[in-house]
Amino acid sequence: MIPTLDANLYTQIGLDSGSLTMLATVVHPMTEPGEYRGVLHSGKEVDAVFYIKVDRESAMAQADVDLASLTGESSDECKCSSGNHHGPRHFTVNPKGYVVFHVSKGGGGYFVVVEKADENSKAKPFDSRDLKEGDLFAATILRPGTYSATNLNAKSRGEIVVTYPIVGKFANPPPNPVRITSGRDTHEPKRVMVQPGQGIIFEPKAPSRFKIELLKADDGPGQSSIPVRDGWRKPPVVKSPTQRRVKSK
Amino acid sequence: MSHITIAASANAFVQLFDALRDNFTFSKSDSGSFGPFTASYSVALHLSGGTVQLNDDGTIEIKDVDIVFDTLTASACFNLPGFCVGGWCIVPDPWNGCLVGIPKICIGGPICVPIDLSGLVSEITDVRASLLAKYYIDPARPPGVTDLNAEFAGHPNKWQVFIDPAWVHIDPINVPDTVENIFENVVKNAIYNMMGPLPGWMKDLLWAAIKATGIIALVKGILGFVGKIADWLETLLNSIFDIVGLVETAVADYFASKYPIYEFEDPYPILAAGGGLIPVKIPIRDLAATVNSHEMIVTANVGA
Repeated sequence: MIPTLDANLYTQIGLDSGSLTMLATVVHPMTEPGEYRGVLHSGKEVDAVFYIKVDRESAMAQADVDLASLTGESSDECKCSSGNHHGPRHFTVNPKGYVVFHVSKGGGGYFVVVEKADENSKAKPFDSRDLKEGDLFAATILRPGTYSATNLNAKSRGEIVVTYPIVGKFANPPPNPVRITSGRDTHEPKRVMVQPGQGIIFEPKAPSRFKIELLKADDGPGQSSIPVRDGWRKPPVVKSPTQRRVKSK
Repeated sequence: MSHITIAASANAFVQLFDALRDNFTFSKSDSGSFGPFTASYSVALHLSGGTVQLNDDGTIEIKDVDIVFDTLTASACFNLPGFCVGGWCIVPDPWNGCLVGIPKICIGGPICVPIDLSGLVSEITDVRASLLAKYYIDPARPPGVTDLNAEFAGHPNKWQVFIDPAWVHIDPINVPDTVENIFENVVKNAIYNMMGPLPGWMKDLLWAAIKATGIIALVKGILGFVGKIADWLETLLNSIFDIVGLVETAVADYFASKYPIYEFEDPYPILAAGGGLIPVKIPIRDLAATVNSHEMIVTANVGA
């Protein structure tokens, strides 16, 4: 994996399950076999169309849909990763599996709507702006500070504290993700404390759209922990005993 | 019996060798890609010191000549994954495995780590050689001219005596263990440069992650070795880039064909031009050169 210093990683501070960016991922179970058509939006515009085949014969438990690659933001048109064997816009998954909508690079700001390709189907489409029970929203926060975690659709709210990284007290890789369940008027736990980069998984118990906003930034102890070279310094002038005597007179 | 015999004492031979040694220079640079990293080097060196021994079996033994690396720089460039997010399991399977995981994003960037080892000294431990006489026709002489006219034009034919090595042995470059500290500082500087545009908190985050792993451990993981940095650099320079082999070849080539230890014109002038007369010269043939423990001996016959 080629590491990135994509500026969106440190300029996009908030996260929104209805507007996916590099550090926000939605996971959706696809339980009913069939052919599905997905539409990728950023705002009102349709950015791309993709297809998901939910197939009992498939061994794929997970289909990774890189939304950036669907729009051409990613240069790797077809990485042919898990669940993606028929081209960059066609995915296959087992009915007991999940589709993972993520953004590998760029500014993002996407939501997806997936519905059965069969026009006569009465199944409700999946809309990533309105997550249901069984869906998951995985968020990763890098910028230290205190955040509000609001479920816009279910009107519940909690708080997330991201601690400041301290050399010597920082686990790399970060600890296991924390899980937050959120429904109507419930948000458990109300307050979580995580390390930067530690995963936060939201489990909706009611129609949900999660929005994470920075309330108060934590800029650390005020002194960067990055060691700085001492460099050369002029040594302090040490007066000779003679000079001291002259001054004392 | 030869018509001409010239001898140079062992001391005189050593002085001739000193001139030959001091005229030697070698420089080269190269680069290569080795999977997770690319590396390059630049080297320039000269020779110094050493001993020369003439043997009765006609061989010359040269030992302990210092190879002074005036320039010896190497650089390794690689992607530094300072900190990775995602990659964790979101839906475990019943067998303690993972059914669904979040794609991983590694935060970091390309860095280059330059190492300056200039000033290191290696050694030509042993050269075993004999003398070799060669006839030289200047490739720059005008076409179609006689030997005499070629000489008048400043391109005379020559007999040349070379030291012709049977083998050249050079000690591998020995990188001191102290390079580990230098390497760590250089990596730090490279990381600072990479972090240039980042906000302070992001720098602290990356730095905390890098320090948690350990700079040297992190770099070793990327470059794919477990031992000492010095050993890795030695392998890179001596075995992968084969600088020692290149210098051995260059020394052998230089001794055997680039710089004669002794040379003279053919035909050989015995009376200079003067009084309206052309110079008097005698042609030399069948030149041979050898040594014994006391001197170098060059023999030849007169005649075209």
